[in-house]
Amino acid sequence: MTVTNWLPTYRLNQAKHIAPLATFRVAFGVMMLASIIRFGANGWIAKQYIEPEFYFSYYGFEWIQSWGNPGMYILFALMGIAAIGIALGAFYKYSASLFFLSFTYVELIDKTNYLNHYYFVSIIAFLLILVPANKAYSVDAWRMKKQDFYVPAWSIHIIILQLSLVYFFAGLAKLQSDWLLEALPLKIWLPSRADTPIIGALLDYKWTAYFFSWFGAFYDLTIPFFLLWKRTRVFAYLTVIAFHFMTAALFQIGMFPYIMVVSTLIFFSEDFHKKLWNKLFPQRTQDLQKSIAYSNPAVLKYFIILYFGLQILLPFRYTLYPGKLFWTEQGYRFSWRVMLMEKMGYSQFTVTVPEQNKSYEVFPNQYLTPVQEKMMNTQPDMILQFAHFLRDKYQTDFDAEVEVFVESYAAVNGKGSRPFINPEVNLATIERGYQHKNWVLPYNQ
Amino acid sequence: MKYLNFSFFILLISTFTACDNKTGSEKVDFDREAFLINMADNVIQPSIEDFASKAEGLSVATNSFNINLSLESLNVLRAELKETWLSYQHLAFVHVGPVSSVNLRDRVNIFPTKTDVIEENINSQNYVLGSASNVAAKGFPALDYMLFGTANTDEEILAYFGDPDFGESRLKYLSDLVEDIQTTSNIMSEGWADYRSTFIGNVGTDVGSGTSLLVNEYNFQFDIRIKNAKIGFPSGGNPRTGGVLSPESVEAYFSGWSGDLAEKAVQSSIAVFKGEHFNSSEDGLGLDDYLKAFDAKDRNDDALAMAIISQSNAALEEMEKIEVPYSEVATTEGSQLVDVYNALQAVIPLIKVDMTSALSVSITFQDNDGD
Repeated sequence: MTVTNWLPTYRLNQAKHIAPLATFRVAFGVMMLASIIRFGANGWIAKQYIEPEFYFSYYGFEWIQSWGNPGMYILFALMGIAAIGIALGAFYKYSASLFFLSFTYVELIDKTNYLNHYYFVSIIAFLLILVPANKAYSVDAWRMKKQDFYVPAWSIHIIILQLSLVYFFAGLAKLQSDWLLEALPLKIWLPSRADTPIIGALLDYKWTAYFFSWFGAFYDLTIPFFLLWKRTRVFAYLTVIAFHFMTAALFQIGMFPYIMVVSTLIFFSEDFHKKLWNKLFPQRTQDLQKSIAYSNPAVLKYFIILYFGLQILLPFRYTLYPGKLFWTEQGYRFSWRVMLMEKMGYSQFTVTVPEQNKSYEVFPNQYLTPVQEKMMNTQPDMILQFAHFLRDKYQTDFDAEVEVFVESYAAVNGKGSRPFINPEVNLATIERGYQHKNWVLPYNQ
Repeated sequence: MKYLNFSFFILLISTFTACDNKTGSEKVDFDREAFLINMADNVIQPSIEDFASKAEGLSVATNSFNINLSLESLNVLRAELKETWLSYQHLAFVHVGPVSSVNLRDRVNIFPTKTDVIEENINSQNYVLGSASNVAAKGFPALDYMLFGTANTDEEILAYFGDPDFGESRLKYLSDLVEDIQTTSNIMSEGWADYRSTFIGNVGTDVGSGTSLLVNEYNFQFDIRIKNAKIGFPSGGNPRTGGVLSPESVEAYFSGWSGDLAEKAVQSSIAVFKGEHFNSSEDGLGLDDYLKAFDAKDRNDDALAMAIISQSNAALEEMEKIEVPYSEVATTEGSQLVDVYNALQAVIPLIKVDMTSALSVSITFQDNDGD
C-alpha cells in the first residue's frame, strides 16, 4: 500500500469508474471530427493555411510553417484520423498524441486564427494524453481483450478542473467596468443581431445588453460550482445548454458552444455515465470490486501541479506590463478573455529607402487576407511582424537598408478611434519579444 | 440551492425590468429595413439610372462624332464624357449588387491610362477590351486620352480621328470604349431589380448583407480610390515621408477635370452617407441615422455621424481651394494636395474603424471569439 495518509492524495489516487471519462473521450473525439469536417467543408484549410502569402508566427515558433498543398490537407486528414482514434479509444495514446500535435501545430502556424476555443481544444487534447481513457468501452480494450473499468480519480478530476478554470477565468475577466457598468461590448454587438429569429426584437434594448453582461459574468464564475454540487447539477446543466445555444445563435463562434455542452457532461456522476454506457452495452454491467488505490510516478504528480500552476498564473501575466491591457494586448491571449471587447483598427504602412530617397505606401491587403489584415490592425505584435515582413521584402528588392513606418488607428469598445502605433518609430529596428512595447502609443494621449 | 439559483435569476430579471421605467427602455430605435429600402430605391437605383442615361448620351454623341467629325461634335462628346464620369463618382460609392458584379470601378475607371497599350490596340485592331491586359486601356481614362491627349490642339485631335490611314480604326476604338461603358451600364440597370430583394431582405450586418457591403465598399472607395488614387499617388504617395511625385497619374490627366471629379466624389460620399435621395437631395435614412441610433461617438465624445460629415466637408473645402488641375499642383512637394490628403486621411479612421465597429460589420464567415 503506497497510499500516503494525506487525504487529497489518497482521494486523487482512489479508483473511480471510467464511465465519465469514457463519455468525455467519445464526445470530444466526435466533436473534433465534426469540427475538422466542417473546417474542411468551409474551404478554410486552403483559405487560412494554404492561400496566405505570409503567416503571423508565434514568437519562438517561427519554425512552424504551413505545409502548403497538399501537405495541409494531409495534416488535417491525420488530425481527423486521430480524432476518430480518440473517440473509439483505438491506439489511444498515439491517437491523442497525434491529435494534440497536429492540432497544436496548425494553431501555431498563424496567430490570426487564434481563438480561445482552439487553445482550449489543444490543452484538453494534451490532458487526454495523460489519462487512461481507453481502459474500457474502447477498441483498445477489445483488442487487448482486457476491460479495466477503473481509473485513478485524478484522471477525471484534471479534466473537470481544467473546464472549471476556463469558465472561472472567463468570468473573472468580465469583472471590469466596461463589461459591468457599460454593458460593452454587448451593447454594440447585440443590436447588430436584431435580425435573429425570436429573440431579435429584444436585442435592441439596452437592458438586454446589461442583462446578458451580468448574467454572463455570474454564469462563468459560478457554473463550475453549480455543476459540481449534486443538488444543483441538473439545473446548472440546463443553464449550460441554454447559455451556449444562445451564444451559438448570436455570435459567429462555430463549434465551441456544442463542444462545451458535451464536455460539461463530465461533471455528472459515475452512476449517470454508467447508465449511459449500460444502455449501449447492456451485457457488460459488471462491477468489479474497486479496492485499488493507484500510485503514480512522482514526476507525473509534480508535472500536473506545475501545469495547473501555470494555468492559474498565465491569465495574470498582463499585470507585469504597464498600460491598458485592451489597448496593448500584452498578456491578452491564453487567458480566457472570450467575447470581451470590440476592437477595430486601421493601418497604413510606409517603406522608405533612405539611400535611394524613395518611399512607398503599402497596402496590407496586397499581402494579407482580409481576416489577417483585420486581426493585425488591432494587435501590435502582429503589426510589428508585418513590418518585418515588409522590411525583409523591400531590403531584398532594393538591396539597401529600409525603414518601415505605420500610421495606425484603433478603437476599443466603440470609444473612438485614436492613434495606435507611434508613427515616428522605425519598426524595422524594433525586435520581437516579450518586453514592453513602448512603441505603442498610450491609450490616453 | 436550486431555489436560490432560481431566485437570483428572478432577482436579476426584476432588477432589469425595474429599470424599464427609467433608462432601461432605452433602445436602438432604427428601422433597418426602411434604411435599406431608402438606400435601394432613392439612392442606388436612381444612381444606376442616371449613369445609364448619361452613358446613353455619351453613346449618342459618339455616333454623331463618328458621322460628322467637327469641333462642335467633339465638344459635345467631351461634355457627355464629363457628365458620365461625374455620374460614375456617385455610383462608385454604392458598389453593391450588379454594380459590384460588373466590377464597375475596375472596368471603367483605372487610371493612369496606358496610352501605349491604347495605340497598340488601335494599330493591331486585335484586342479584347475585357481582357486583363486592357484594364488600363479602356473606360473613362482611355476616352480622356483619346479626346484630349492625342494631340496638342483641337484641330490636331480632329485630324487624329480624320487620318486617312488610321482614322477609321481610331474611331472604331473610340466607339468600342463607349460601347463597353454602355454595356456595363445596361447590365447594371437590368440586374438591379433582381438584386433589390436580396439587398433589402437581409437586415443584419453579417457578410453579404446589404449593410455590410455598403459600408465596406464605401470605405474602400473613400480610402483606396479617392484618398490614394486621386490624391495620394499623384502628390507623392504617403506625404508624411515625402514620396515620389507623379503628376501624370491624376484622374483625367488630359482633360484636366481632376478637381471636378474628385470634388464630385467627396460630395457623393457625403450624400450616400446621409442617404440623400439622388433626385431630390431630400435627406433619407442613411448611415448617419444608423450611427445616431446606435449613439456612436468619436473619441471626443461627439456624435460620430457629425464628425464624419464635418471632416468630409473639411476635405471638400481643401479641394475647393485648388482651382487648377491637380496635375499642375502635384508638381511640387508638400503641395496643397497634401493638405487635401491629410483632410481625407482624417476621415479614414472615422469610417474604417469607428463606423465599422459601431455597426459590427463582419468581413468573414470565419469563427471568432471577439478578441
